[in-house]
Amino acid sequence: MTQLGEARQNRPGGDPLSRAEVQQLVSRYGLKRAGARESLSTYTSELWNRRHFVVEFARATNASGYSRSFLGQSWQVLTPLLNAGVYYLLFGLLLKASRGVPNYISYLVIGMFVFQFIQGTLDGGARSLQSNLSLARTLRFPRAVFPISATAIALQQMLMSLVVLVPIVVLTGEPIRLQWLEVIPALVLQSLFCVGLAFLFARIGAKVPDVSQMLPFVMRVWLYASGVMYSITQVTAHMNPLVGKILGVNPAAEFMDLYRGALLASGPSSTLGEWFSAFAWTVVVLVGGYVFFWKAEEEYGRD
Amino acid sequence: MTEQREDRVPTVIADNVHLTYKISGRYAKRGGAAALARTVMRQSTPGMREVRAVRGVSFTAWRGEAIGLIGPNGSGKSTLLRGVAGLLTPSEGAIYTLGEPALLGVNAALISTMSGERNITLGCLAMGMTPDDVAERYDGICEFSGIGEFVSLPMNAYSSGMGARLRFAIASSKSHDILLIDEALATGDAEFRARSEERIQQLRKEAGTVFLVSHSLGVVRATCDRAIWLEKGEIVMDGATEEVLDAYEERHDPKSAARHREQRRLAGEASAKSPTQVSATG
Repeated sequence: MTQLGEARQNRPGGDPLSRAEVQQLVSRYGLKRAGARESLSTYTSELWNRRHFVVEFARATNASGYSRSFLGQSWQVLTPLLNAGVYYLLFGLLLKASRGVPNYISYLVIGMFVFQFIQGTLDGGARSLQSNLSLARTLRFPRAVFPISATAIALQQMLMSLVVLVPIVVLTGEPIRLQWLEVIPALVLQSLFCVGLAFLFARIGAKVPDVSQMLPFVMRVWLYASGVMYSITQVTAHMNPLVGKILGVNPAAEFMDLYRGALLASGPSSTLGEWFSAFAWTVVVLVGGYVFFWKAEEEYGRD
Repeated sequence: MTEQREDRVPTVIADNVHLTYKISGRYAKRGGAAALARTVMRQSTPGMREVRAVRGVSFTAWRGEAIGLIGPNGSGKSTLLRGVAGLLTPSEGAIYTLGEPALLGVNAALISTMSGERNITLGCLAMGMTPDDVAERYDGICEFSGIGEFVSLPMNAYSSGMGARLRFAIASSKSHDILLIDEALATGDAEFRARSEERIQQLRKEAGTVFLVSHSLGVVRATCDRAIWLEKGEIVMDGATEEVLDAYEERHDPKSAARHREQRRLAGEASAKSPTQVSATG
């Protein structure tokens, strides 16, 4: 800018421009309305540019979450371990429940861990914008970073849970087999599904803060309806077949069945139909959630 | 000199901007039933209170300008900055920007529970740098902030001055199209202030526009070539820093206005015309 020097000598304020002059300048130099939302493709590429930020942010948030406890990040392994211990005590030793399921302990623990992954993303997603307000107000970047990080944190917990899960499954008498590898596509699908959920609830949670108060109840109903502690097919066997169908299309139940089919030789393997159904859920929730979140991008971090 | 307007590039245009805060919750109509009804009906309530912080402000900022926003507390300076940053939507009028604005405020902590190191990395990545960029600039940021070994401590262990220094160091490590500084330099010590003023000048040279909210007129005099005086959400005066600040002091601080007049009389009329020559006081 060679004219900078002279420009500064000008009366800097000048008269306010008329609306027509403003519009002329805006279109001539390509100014954008402050805080306007980018197109979906620009937004996505901006988000892709921030991928390192997402990873680093998730790691840092995770570490700072445990920074005040003595045992630090070992809680990531301890929590699922203690959970499994409680289930074993309660259902294995005290109630001696099996409800027609061959390897009930593994069946229950798998269901619980899979559900906790969903629950973790929902909780984290719903709070993700509220708890990072000051960062969001300082720097501008696609806000989708926050729900994705929330999912990444929950995913890390899920990976630890899977590590804990292996000895449990083996100790309860399941053979080590090649089909265990099916866990990998199941985890990929579920992670993408969870990202979609986090998007959905991040927007809802940002608009209606009361959602975090409501979520525990919704989650409990979902938990009981998902067949974590019982087999949907067994329990609904004597009921109207529609009930079993309706409970069966619940995505949480479907993901649990994928993991169970992979890990438990005592139960049925997953059919192609089940895989397809989980895939359909993932695509719908992921794409729907992303677009839903992006639509309100301008409103996050406002008063 | 009027033909210059054609060659200058506008970076921020505020066109009759009104910014309004809606105060809901405690001050609005109480009661769960009423709240539920509001949510269902998606209406803004008659009980909702509105604070009109900025009323009908128009200005155009050009590339390479440093603009000081002055005015008493509650005059809408910070609100206006947040509007330019795109964090508040005008209830009337519009704000247009060329490029991405970055807002730097006193209470805009990054992540206070995390160490300075981590905040540097996160802040830089959030601004869209690659990990290589960050590694390259990391030392420069540490050095500029001058917080020494405190960089490994969480930011909530910092004094407000140190926090502000680190934030400024992070935000100014990248050249921004529009940098909005809200009292961020007020807590720094004299040495840091001098360094940050230098950095602001440098950012301006990199074809950016800088907005500065400050109650320290000395800082505004030293860094800005243009000032906008706000009072109760309206522009009282918009022009060259010297002119506006003199008028402002005349109104709000007659004592130092008299002192400045005296100084200038001694220094001679010639230097009074060039804003950068006047010594910064306060």
